Amino acid sequence: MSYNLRILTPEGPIFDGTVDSVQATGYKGSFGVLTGHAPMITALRVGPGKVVTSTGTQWYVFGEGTLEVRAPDVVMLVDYAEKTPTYEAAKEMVAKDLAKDKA
Amino acid sequence: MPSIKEYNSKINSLKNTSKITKTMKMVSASKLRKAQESQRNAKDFAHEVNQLIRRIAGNVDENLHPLLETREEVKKVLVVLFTSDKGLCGGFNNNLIRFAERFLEERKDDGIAYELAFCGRRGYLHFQSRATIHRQFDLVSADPGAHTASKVMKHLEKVFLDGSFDRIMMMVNEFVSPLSQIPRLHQLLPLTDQDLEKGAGEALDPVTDILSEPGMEQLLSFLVPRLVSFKVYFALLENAAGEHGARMTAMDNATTNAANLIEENTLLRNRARQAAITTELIEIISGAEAL
Repeated sequence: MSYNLRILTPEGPIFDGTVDSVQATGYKGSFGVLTGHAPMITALRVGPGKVVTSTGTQWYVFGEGTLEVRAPDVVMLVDYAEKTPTYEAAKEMVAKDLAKDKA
Repeated sequence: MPSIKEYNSKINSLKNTSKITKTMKMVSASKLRKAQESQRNAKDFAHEVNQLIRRIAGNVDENLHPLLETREEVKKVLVVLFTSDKGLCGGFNNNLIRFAERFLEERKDDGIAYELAFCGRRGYLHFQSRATIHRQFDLVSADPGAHTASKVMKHLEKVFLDGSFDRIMMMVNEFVSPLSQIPRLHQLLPLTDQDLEKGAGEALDPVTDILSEPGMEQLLSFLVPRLVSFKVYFALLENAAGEHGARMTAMDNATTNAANLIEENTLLRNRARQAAITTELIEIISGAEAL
């Protein structure tokens, strides 16, 4: 079961394709979206996230933004989205980004 | 008359100069392409954000968010000038500076206090002792990114919301073509109808039966500043595109001028060489005749 995901940033589209699920950091914590999710709009905070496709899993760091389930598709509007090799690397980068914003 | 050697060194230095200007032109051309592509991407993003806001709010009006509210009495206005950090780009910065000076001159007596802020060093260097400076944002013109734009925007949002300024304007060189950039004045805050794409398409029905987290109102207060951020980002890109376009043209002219000078000097050098040969021949012949 899969759906179409688009990740857009001001600097350009980062991802556009069929995915099995996506995970991101929401207002109250991490959450995931699978196929057939009810329509939803939610704000995202800076945090790690992942995109699962039929070929594998990709880790990202997502900036602030929104995620909208516009059945059947999902659109993410984020300030930035950066690919990282692992979940740990993503978490490390989030900590760095948050520190940078405070400075 | 300069000697052949002097001509040769002059020609060599001209050749070096034209190499540099030619390279600068090519670098600018590629940076210009990049800036234009970023502009296209940024526009798509802003359109999506607008659509989302309209879907959430149905129709957007002034009371929705403090950033949309027009103040009845405008006493203090902040003008943000976008210029480049570096020179060597023809009249690009000077045009904008003159435009700003005219703007301030015309509004000297209308009872509104104007302050200036800068993205880019050139404008700041010109105005630092001539006008009331609010702030200079360092290192934002050279590398326009969404992140730098949002930093600038956060500061502007703060001074607008705390009442330090009643209106914030932007002065940017609009990129028409590499040959022409026109200084323009836009309103940044409060946001205008145009920013909200009002009248573009029908009003969308607000979505009701939809999960939202946090509530719709909070979501809006989260989305609207994104539009402001986009405007700053777009202005930075417009400025970058203009700068590189202007530099491309300026460097193209410089390369042509250098080529002309090389040609002229080569002619003069050849003449000087011919004159030297003639003199030598005359000396030899008259020496032989004397024998």
